[in-house]
Amino acid sequence: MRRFLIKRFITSLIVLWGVSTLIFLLIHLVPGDPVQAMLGESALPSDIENLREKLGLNEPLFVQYKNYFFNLIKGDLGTSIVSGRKVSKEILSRFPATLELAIASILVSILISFPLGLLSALKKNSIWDISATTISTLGLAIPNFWLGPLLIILFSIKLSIFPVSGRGTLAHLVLPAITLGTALSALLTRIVKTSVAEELKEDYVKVALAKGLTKSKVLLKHVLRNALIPIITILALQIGSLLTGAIITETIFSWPGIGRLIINAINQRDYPLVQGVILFIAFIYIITNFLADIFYAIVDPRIRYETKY
Amino acid sequence: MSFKENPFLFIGISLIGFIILFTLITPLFYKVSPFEIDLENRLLPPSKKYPLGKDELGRDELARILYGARISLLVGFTVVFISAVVGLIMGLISGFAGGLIDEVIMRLVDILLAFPGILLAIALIAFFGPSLVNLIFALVLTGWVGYSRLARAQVLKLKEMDFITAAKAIGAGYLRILFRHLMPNVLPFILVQASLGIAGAILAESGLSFLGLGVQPPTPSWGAMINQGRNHLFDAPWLTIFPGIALLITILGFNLLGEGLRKIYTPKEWE
Repeated sequence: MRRFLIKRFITSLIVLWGVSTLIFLLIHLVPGDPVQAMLGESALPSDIENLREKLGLNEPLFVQYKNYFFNLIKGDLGTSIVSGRKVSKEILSRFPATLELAIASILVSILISFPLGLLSALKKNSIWDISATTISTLGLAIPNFWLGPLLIILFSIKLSIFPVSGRGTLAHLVLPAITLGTALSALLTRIVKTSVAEELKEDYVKVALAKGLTKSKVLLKHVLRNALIPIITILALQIGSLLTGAIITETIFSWPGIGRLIINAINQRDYPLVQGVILFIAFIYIITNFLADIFYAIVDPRIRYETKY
Repeated sequence: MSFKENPFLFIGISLIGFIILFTLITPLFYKVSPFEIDLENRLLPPSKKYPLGKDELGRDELARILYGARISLLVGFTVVFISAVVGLIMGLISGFAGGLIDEVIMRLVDILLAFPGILLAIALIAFFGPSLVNLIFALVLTGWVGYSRLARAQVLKLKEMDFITAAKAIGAGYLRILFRHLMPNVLPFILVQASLGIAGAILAESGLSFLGLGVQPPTPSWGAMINQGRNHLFDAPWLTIFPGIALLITILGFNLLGEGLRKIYTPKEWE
């Protein structure tokens, strides 16, 4: 187990280094002068020179990379050009809103997918099974940037139940959470259905039933417990994707999280902020994947013995 | 094969057929420019004369959806074609050559797979500026890795087989083995993956265009049209609804086609 953990940890470190190097190279491959692009066509030469100096762009590329890398290790993502605040502070001030949205959308997806997936696994070819398949197929095909405005038209404009945008009360959270959680619900419904159906075929289910245990007890105490392993792993793997999905959802509902932060930064050509948010999301994505792998290896010993790195 | 055996395939083909025919045939008798501005008739609701209404600049919504279909299909097919070709070649080389080449290519694949492709696409477009070419480039940059992994896995399996040993024994060169013997056997897997990838590419294009990072105005794109429609959810909701329906049908069609093909070609290896 320790060997697996060390190897998986080193792989994650290599990927983190690779991702940060890739982002560094991207920003330095921008055609033309990035500082000119940030300040606009009408910028004074002295302003351009000042900003170049401030960002360290007059240094040789290797020195810039070294500084960038060591700053990154210290958690210093640079300074926003527009606000003048530290990028890490900007991100941390917005992250709670995104986290709140992500957690709410996970709750929505669990509430939809568990009953639907369970029922469709238990009652194959029933109306439940057909609705689960239809909902998961539609849920995976419906773009969240269309679903969000549709929900606004129906629940905010026509029925006046939920607010159109903003953050503050629980009512503000409902539509964004459904918008972000729909694709995850569709995916989870499939996973719940498949894993429960697989577990139901196992011999221990027959044994438990033969011993006289009730169906519901077998389902809750044995089947669901074992089926939860792949479900939780997939859920953990999806956390990073939720952060990317949040970029669109936050734009639709004016939700003040890191998704909106990055879109505003792109529009204002605030490159250090764009770079910082992208690195932050990528880091979270890699870390959650790492944790999901560890969880999987702990609960399923086959993984740690079979996986070769 | 009957509808009952593989309903996904039949429904998928029907939906895609409908979208392609709709895109090709409708402009033959509906000759309205998607770019023509008509401010006097802005935000006109759907009517007999303008079946899907008019947008905020008085441009015809149906004409713009038809044009947007071309953009979506163009981006979808181009991205998947280039990604599949690049991924196939890299996977063939990586799997067949082994050693350092394999190690370098696979570590690059690991890095690109280790964080969401759409995020890298956003980063690239943020730094290089939004345009159709940059959009396609960004999606290819992250799209080829899945194909290369798939191709490599197949090559690793195939290269131990007798027909490859026989080809080597009779003196076939590396290129001949790669392209005459290995590639035809890897191709079906790539095609199934590609059919599933088109939906993803179309969705990514629309999502980025929605954020203003894809196709630029005045060129119509379904994603950008949904975004413009957001400004008129109260007074002209159809501007959001219609492009979304077109997008949903297309994504659903390609998703179902991919599922259907997967069932036919590789039932055991995929499930």
